[in-house]
Amino acid sequence: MPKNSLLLEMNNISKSFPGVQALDDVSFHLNEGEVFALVGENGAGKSTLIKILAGSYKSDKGEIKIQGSPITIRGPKHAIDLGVSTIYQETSLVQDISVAENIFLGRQHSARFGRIDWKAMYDESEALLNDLSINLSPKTIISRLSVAQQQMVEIARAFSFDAKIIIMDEPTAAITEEDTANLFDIIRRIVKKGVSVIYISHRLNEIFQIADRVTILRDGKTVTSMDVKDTDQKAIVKYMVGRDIGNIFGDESYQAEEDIILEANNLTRKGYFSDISFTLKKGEILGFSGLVGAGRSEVVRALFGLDQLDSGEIKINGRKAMIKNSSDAINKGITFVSEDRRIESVIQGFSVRENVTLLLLEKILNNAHLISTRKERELANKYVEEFSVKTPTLEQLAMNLSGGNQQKLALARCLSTNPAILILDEPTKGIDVGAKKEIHTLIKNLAKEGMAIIMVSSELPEIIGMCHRVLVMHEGKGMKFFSKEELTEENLMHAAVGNV
Amino acid sequence: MSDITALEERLTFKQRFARFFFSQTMLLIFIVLFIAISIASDKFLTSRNFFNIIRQSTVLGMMACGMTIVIIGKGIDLSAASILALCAVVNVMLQKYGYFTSVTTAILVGTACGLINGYLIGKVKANFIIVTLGTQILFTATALIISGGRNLKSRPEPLFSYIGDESILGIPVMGYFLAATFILFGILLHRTISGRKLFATGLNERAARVAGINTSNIIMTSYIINGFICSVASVVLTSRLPRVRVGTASEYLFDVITIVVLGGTALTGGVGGIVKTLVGLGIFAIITNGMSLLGIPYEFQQMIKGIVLVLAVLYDEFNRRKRLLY
Amino acid sequence: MKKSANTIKNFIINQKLLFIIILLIIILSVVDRSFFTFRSLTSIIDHITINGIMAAGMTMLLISGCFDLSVGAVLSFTGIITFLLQPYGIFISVIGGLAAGTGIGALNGLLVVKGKINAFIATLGSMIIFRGLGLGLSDSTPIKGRIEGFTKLGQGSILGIPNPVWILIITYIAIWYILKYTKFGRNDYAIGGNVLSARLTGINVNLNSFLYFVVVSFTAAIAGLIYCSRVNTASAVFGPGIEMWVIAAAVLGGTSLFGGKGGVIGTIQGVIILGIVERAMVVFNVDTNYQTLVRGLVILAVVITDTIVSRRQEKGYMSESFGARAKTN
Repeated sequence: MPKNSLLLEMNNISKSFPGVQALDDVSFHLNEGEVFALVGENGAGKSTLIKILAGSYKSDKGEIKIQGSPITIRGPKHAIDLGVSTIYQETSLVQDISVAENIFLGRQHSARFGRIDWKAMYDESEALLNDLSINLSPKTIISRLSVAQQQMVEIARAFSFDAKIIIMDEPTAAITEEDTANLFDIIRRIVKKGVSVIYISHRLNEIFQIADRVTILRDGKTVTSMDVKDTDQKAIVKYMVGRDIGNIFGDESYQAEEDIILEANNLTRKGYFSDISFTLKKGEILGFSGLVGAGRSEVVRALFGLDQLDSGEIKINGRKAMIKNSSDAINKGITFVSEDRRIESVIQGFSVRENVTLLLLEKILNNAHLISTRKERELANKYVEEFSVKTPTLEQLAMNLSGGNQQKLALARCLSTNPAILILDEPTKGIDVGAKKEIHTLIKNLAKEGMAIIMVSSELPEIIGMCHRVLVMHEGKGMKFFSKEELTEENLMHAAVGNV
Repeated sequence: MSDITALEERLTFKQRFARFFFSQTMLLIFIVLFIAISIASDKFLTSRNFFNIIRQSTVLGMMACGMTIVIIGKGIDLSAASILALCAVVNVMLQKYGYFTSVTTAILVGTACGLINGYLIGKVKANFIIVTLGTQILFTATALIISGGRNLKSRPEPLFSYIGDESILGIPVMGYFLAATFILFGILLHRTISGRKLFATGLNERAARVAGINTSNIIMTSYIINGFICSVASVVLTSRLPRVRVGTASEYLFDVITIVVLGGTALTGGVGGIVKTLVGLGIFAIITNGMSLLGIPYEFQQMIKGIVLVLAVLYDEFNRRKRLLY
Repeated sequence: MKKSANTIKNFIINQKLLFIIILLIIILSVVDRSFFTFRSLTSIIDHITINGIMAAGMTMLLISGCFDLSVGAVLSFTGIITFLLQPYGIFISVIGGLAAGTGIGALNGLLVVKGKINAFIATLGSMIIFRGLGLGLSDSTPIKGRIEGFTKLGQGSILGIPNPVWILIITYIAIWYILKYTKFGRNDYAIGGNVLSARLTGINVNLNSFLYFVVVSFTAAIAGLIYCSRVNTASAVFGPGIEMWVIAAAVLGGTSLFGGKGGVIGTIQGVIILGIVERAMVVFNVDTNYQTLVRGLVILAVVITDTIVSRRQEKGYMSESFGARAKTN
């Protein structure tokens, strides 16, 4: 392919959020008429980068140049006007109106007297769809289309805005293989017309099918950029994960006990995961690794009774357990700290005291079966101290605590029932280094004392440093178990992208 | 002993009281209004007037307690007044079978109404606004059907009118009902496990479920309790007003909501309390009383009450944005 | 052969409301042979015109995702202001009344769009205030109409068709046209369907939403004028509960409470069905209180059905995306 002219440059982009540096001096460039892949593990910074380009975020540092001229992108609308259209995973279409109207939303064709010219709109839409060889009628109502078809409408719409750059964020996450092939045809067609596509995906085999060049991000930094034809999947995986872990997690290794406390057999939930089986021993930390969307959170939520299993059985201490809701799970000794901890594991409007005692309400009653303020305060104090939750008073509202302290609060609450099994979903996501270490130490101590722990994490160093065994999931299936000796980032990532 | 309790105990009772007191805007408004009305009308500060106020506020106050509970659970019961009307009608029509029978049946009917609401909203999870609007029509219609649209006259049964007319130790019997309701609901809401669970549910239903709370049951129960207390309030009502007319029910609804919102219980749920509702009741009661004493015509009283409601809601919205709760 | 059978079936499903109307008319005519009498048809038409005009405006608002509980209050308030302004002649009183009624819509719009208050609370508050205000201004007594020529509005006719019916037709044509052929109307669907996208495409969501509230009240005000001119009286208690009936008619006609879809063609059919139901209850000598009961049940049924259907549609979209994923490898 002939060398195309430079279309977009993003130079030295840095962006930080409270507690985390999302992007650090990231640079890449995009040529006209090429498909450019952006690759990296969860949290590498891909989303942040394209959100800056799409105008949803503003970078702290760095410049953006479009066709050589430096640009400040003022907002999402401005980005569209500049020729940057984004297709996210969440649909931006209006469900109950036609394809044509969605394409021309807000820009309807007018005839005389300001009346909408439907014929012109349908005609132009038809021409557009034909041009891209999209086999849809412009009059179809969106709600009747499949996800893949709706995606095509979004592409057609982006194209109609004279977009020079179309960003696609995980476009194949929700469509079939056949639809993926169709999608690629359309991409090739629009690229021939001079549009460039920024393509984000975890599916490395797709990258090799459709992309011309690829940039790999890791921990918010650019690792390298290269032509796709000059590399292979193995190399990309290595770039995605290669890092110096060092001894962040300390050297202590200890054995898990031999008793199996939890057995899961063939857990299935249609559309989310299928045939997941594993065992969990007392004192063991079992890790669930994989990419976003692999189904890990869904599995553990089903384990905790928040979602219903379609089939499969759970055995606790050898006996079959029916878990229909969270209450059942808690009664059976399972406790859960959600990934979305600010919304699900901590009640923001409650005070620290009220949050901590929420699972222990039976224990703070007085003789009249009413809540005793004194007992409650004592109990709350105990746990706040034990878990080092930094708060000025017990009455402080949870929403005023820092992220790390809220996580400790959530842990304090969950552990107040002395559970046998603790499930953690991304326990240190978005938490500063200091608090991370505290939480890791806490978790390890719990395991040493015999608690069985399941930890879902997207941070490979965390998984490797903390777990005895790891199950890697991919697209709803359990791929492979890794024992402690086999735990390397490359191994985990290979399994995560589907290569076993 | 940790730093935390040490810090709290350092504040003396006086200081804690002062801090609490001045953060209660509505309480201050109550005091201001109280003073203002006492100045405006010399009939205000008489014991006779106060007893009147108590008598006038009992039914509304009892309903407000029930409504507070529903609202804290992030709902609202727009059928409350029609439950009141229906139970009053049932009560009066069954009086010929004896006071005991009629009252018990009325209370059962009210609780059943609450169950209907609670089931549709808690279990079926239909929209609470539409459901209670619909059940309001349903219950009102039933009341009209049973009563044949006539105005009913309650029989002067001695035990019955005792509630309405008599006093114990100089204070009207109704006052004791009112106090008992507030104390009971106060304990229920703030000192029981279910009450705590209700607050959690109203603040954040997802988190409540993760914490093992059966939110469907909690919400359903709140509506059942409201139905129950409305039925008890209807017994008090019929003892006070011998004539029962279905038509006046809707006014009660708006008054009750005004009282709860005035007190500071948020319509978005999870925040509020019985003491707050008591303050709201106080403000409402003295405003209404004041307007009567000052001879303001009925229609304009209605309009002023409407404006008060809108202002209270605006204030609640303003607070909500300040709170920024999830 | 199969193809034509399928098309007939599809046609019936698509036009189910029309078929219900025809069915109801047939049943009713059989039961009550006086159905097609002047008196009977007039009462249905009276009912349909008032509710229909209000439902047309309500349809516009519902599509954008809001609803308005104050339309009944607008109806009565318009009448009261109109009649209070009687001494100043027909022109001033009618314009004044319309302005007052439409003004309530503007107030609602401001509260919801600028004040960011929930539509339910804001319009409920309006209803209370303006019912109360109406009572106050009229001293709680109905006001007698004394304007020259005013009754022609509600009681007169042109070319044999009653004036209210003309107004109904004009209203429906107007709103149908707006919803189909103007940006203002099409944006309604966008706002109700996906407000974020609507904003991104440059639609002025705030201004549009505000105007929908004004439209609803305007139609309610017109309905108020017609209503009062029919009986030549204005009263603050006219139209109790009519708002729920109007919303139910629109929802029955296919306009969802959740916004994003619907139209006046469905709405008028919904209005007609409910009008026939009303008439049927009279024909069957149903007690007034049972009538209220039926109304309550109809409202509940219509709205619960809408909720279930919409939830199912939502779920369908979600599960498909995950389901598709499960099909790969």
